[in-house]
Amino acid sequence: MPIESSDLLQGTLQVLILKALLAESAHGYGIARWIEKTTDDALRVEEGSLYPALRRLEDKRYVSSDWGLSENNRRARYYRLTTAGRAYLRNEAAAWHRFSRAMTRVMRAAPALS
Amino acid sequence: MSASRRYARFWGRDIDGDIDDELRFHLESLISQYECRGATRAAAEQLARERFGDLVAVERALYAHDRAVHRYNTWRDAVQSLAEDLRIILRALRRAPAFSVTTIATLGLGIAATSAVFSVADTVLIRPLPIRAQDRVVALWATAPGAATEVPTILDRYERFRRSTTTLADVAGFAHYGTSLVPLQDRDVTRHAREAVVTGNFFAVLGAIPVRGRLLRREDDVIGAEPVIVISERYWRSEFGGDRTAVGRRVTILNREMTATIVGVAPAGLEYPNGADYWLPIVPTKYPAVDLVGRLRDRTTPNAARAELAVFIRNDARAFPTSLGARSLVASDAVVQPLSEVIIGSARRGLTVLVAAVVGLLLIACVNVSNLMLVRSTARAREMAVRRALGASSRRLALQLTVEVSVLALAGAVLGACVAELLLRILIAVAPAGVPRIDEVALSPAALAVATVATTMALLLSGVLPAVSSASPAIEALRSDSRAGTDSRHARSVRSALVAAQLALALVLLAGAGLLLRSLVHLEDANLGYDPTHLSIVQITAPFHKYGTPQQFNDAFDAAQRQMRSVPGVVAITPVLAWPFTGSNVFAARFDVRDRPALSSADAPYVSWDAVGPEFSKAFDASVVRGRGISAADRLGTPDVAVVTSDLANQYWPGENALGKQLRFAGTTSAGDTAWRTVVGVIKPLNYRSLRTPTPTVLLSYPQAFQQGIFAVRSRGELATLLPDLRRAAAASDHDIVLWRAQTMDDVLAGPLSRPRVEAFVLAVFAALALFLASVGVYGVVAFVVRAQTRELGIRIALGATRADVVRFALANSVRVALVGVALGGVLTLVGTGFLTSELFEVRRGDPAALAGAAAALLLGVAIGGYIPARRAAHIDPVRALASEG
Repeated sequence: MPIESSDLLQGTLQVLILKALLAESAHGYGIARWIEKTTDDALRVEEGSLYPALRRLEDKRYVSSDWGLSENNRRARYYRLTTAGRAYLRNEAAAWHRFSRAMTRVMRAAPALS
Repeated sequence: MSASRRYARFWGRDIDGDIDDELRFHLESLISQYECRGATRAAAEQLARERFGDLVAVERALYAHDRAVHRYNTWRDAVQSLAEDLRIILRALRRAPAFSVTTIATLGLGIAATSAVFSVADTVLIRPLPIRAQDRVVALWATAPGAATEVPTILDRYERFRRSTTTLADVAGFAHYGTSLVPLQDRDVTRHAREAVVTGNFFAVLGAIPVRGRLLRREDDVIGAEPVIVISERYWRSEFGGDRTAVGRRVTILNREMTATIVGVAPAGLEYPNGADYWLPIVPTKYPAVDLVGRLRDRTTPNAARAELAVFIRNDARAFPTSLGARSLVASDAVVQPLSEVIIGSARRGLTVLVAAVVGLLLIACVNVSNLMLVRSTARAREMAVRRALGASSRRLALQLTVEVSVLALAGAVLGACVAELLLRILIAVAPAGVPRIDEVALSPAALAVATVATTMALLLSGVLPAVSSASPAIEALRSDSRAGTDSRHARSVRSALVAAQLALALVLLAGAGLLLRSLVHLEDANLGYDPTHLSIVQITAPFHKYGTPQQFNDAFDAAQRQMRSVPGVVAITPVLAWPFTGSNVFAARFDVRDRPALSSADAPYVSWDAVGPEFSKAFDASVVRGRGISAADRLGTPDVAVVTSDLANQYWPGENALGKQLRFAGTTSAGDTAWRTVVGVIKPLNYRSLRTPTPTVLLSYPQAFQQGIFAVRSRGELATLLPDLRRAAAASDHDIVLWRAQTMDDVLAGPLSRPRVEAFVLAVFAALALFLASVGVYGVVAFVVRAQTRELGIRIALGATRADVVRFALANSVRVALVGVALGGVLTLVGTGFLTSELFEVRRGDPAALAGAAAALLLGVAIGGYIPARRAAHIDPVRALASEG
C-alpha cells in the first residue's frame, strides 16, 4: 500500500526533494519521477505539493532555480541543490539514520509482533 | 546584481505566466506519460489530475508566495541601489566641491531669506488678532471736509452716538492720541509705559479674552469707580516677568498722581492702540476726545456704519452746537476701516516690499541652481551616455540624478533652516518700532517647506529633465572626443537665458535698494527747518494737588524752566505742547478768522497749534520772515498774540500780509479759550509734528494758553553731559518736580527714521546677495565655456592670439548676456519698483542716479564673475591644452 503524501511529514518531503536533487538539477516533474522510481512508488507524493515545498526550500536558500529547456524542448524551471542545501541534507540524513535505526531496534525488540 | 536583472525587475517579471508554465509543463508531462502507457487522452488527463492533487490550491499558494517574494526583492533592490547611488553621489560631490558648495550655499541663502521674511509676514499680516470675529471690528473716524483730516469725537458726542447707532452692536472709544508715555511706579521701581485711555466697554467690543484676571468693564469708567488698569501681555512678561501676583498689585501712575490696581492681563498680540502697555478707563471729565472702534452688527457693512456716522455727526453738530469743543472739532463726514487694516496698515507696505524682494531673491537662487545643474549635466553628458550604453536604463539614471538633487536639496534645506533662524532673529532685532506683534514671530515650518519645495523643483527641472530627455545627443556625446562634455547650441542658449533672467532680477533688487537708500539719504538730510543737533526734548512732571490754582502750577513750572535755563551750556529753552513727530492731528484745531466768514465755515482747514515761549525762535532757529516772534512781553493780561508759519499764512491769507490779522479757536476748547489773537509774526515752516512734511502751525504764547511740562532745550554740548544738571535744576525750586524723560532730537528722529533705515538695510542686504548670486551665475557659465573650449583656446594661443584676444573670446558671450540682462532688468525695474512708490521720499521711481548705480554695480559683478575664469583662459598653456585629451 502506497503512503500518500499527506501522511508525510513536512520535513520528510523536503528531505526527499533535496535527495532527488543531489545527483543533478531537475524540474518538478523530474523530481516526482525520481521519487516514484527510487521508492518503487511506495511513497506516493501528491505531486502538486512538491511546488510549495520547493518554494520554501528556495526561500531558505537550499535550492536555487533557473529557467531552461526540457528534454522535449519545452520551457521548464530547473531546481539545483545549493551548498547550503547539501549541508542541510547531510545533517538531515544523519538524523534520519539515527531515528530509523532506533525505530528498527524498537520494532525488533522482543516479543516479536507476529 | 547585474544590470540586466535590474532592467528585468524594472519592467516587472511575469509571475503569473511563470507559475502557469511550470505547472502546465508538469501536468502535460504526466498526461503524455499515461498516454504512452496506453491510456486514452481523457483517462490520461483524469489520472494526471489525481496524481497532481489540488491544482487550484497549489496555484494560489504559489501566486501568494511569489508575489510576496517579488515585493520584497523589489524593495531590497531599491534600498541597495539607493545606498549605492548615495555612495557614488557623495563621492562625485566631494570631487566637485565648488559645484556642491555653491549649490548648497545658494539653496541655503534662498531658503533662509525667504522663510525668514515669510515667517514675519505670516505673523504680522496674516495671523488673526486675538479678538472675536475680527472682520466685524472696525475703526471709525469723523473727518473734516476736503482734506479728509481725521477728527476725534468729543466724549459726550461719542456717548450719544453709542446710544443711537443701529449699524454697530457696540462702539468703544480711546483717547485720540493713541498712547502717551508715562512714568508708572510699581513698589519702588518706576518704569516708562505707553498708556492708552479707553472706555470701559473697549475690550467687550473687541471680544478679547484675558490671559490673567479680567479686562476692563463698563462700570470701570464711571466717575467714582475704583481706579483699575489692564496690562498688555508683552508688558506683563517684560516688566513683571510673567509674575502671577502682578494681577492685584497696586501701581502709581506718577503724572496723574493716581494709584490703580492691575486687574488683568490682555491676550498676547493685542496692543491696540499704538502698542499700548496698559489700558486705563477713561475719566469722563478729563479726556474729551476719543477715536472710535466698533463691532458691526450681523449683516451690516462697514459702509453702512460710515454712512450712519457721517449723518450722525452732521445732525449732532446742529443739535448740540454749544457742547464742549463741538465747534472746533467740526466734522462732516466719516471713514471706517477694518481694525486689522488699521493695525497692520503701515507694516503691510514695508513688508510687501520685503516679500517682493525676497521672492526675487528666491527666483534668483532657483535660476542659479538651475544653471549650475545644467552646466553640470552638460559636463556629465558623456558620463551619462557611457552608462546608458553600458545598459543603465533611463529610469535608473533619472533615479540617480533625483537622489543627487535630493541630497543637495536636503543639505540646502538644513543650512537654510539654520540661517533662517539666525536671519529671523536679526530681522526681529532691527525691526522698527510699531511693527505689530513682531515679538510673536517664530520660524514658520510652512514657509520653510514652501521655499524648500520651490528650490527643489528648480533643481529637479534643471538637473534631471535635460539628462533624461536627451536620448540621441547621448550617442553624439560618445562620438565626441571631448571628455569635458559637449555644449549644444540649445543648452548654451538656455543657460544664457537663465543668466540674463538672473541679472535682470538682480538689477531690480539693486535698483530698489538704490532708491530706498537715496530716499533714506534725503530723509536723513531732510530739512526740518531747524538743526536737530544739540536740540533735546525734556519732560517734567509735578504733583498737581500741591498747587491750589492753575496760576500757582504755572508759576512752579516757570520756576523750573528758569532754573533749567540757567544751567551752563543751555542756550535756549521753550515750552512746547507735544513731543516731536506725534502727528499733525494732536493739538490740532479749527480757527475762526476775523472778517473771513468763509474760513470760519465747516470747510476751514484743521491745523496744528502750539504754545511756546520767547526763546522758541532761538531754540528752533526759526527765522522770522515778518514781524516778530513770541516775546516775553506776551503774558497773561497783555493782548493775545499768535505767530504763524509762512505756509499757514499763505493758506489763510494768500497774497496778503498776515500781520495784524486776527484768529481764534473755533468754539470752546478745554481751556475755555475764545479770545481773538492778533498775528504779530510769520516764521518759516517747521517739520515738528511730522518728519516728512512741514506742518502749518499757529504758535501761541504759552502764558496766554497753557503749558504741560514739555520743553525743547538747545544746548552747546551733548545732552548727556547736561542731564544731571538739568535734573537738579528742575527740582531746585520744588523738589517734587521730576525731570523724568529726556531725549536728544537725534534719538527722537531715530523713531520715524527706523523704518526707512531698516527697509533700506534689509533690501540692500538682499540686493547684495542677489548680486553675489548673479556673479556666481556668470562665473559658472564663463568657467564652463573656458573648460569646454580649452583645446580651441590652446590652438588660438598657439596660433598667436594675445591674452587680451583670449579674454575677449571667453567673455564675448557673457557680455552679450549681461547687456540683455540689464535691458530686461531695466524694464522689470520700472514695473517692479511700483511697490516702492509709497516708501520713497523726494526720490522718483525712475531716479537716474539710483538706476545707473544699480546697473553699474551689476556690471561690476558681471565683470568680476566673468573675469576670473577668463583670466584663467588667458593663461592656458597651449602645449598642455593640445596634449590633453580635451
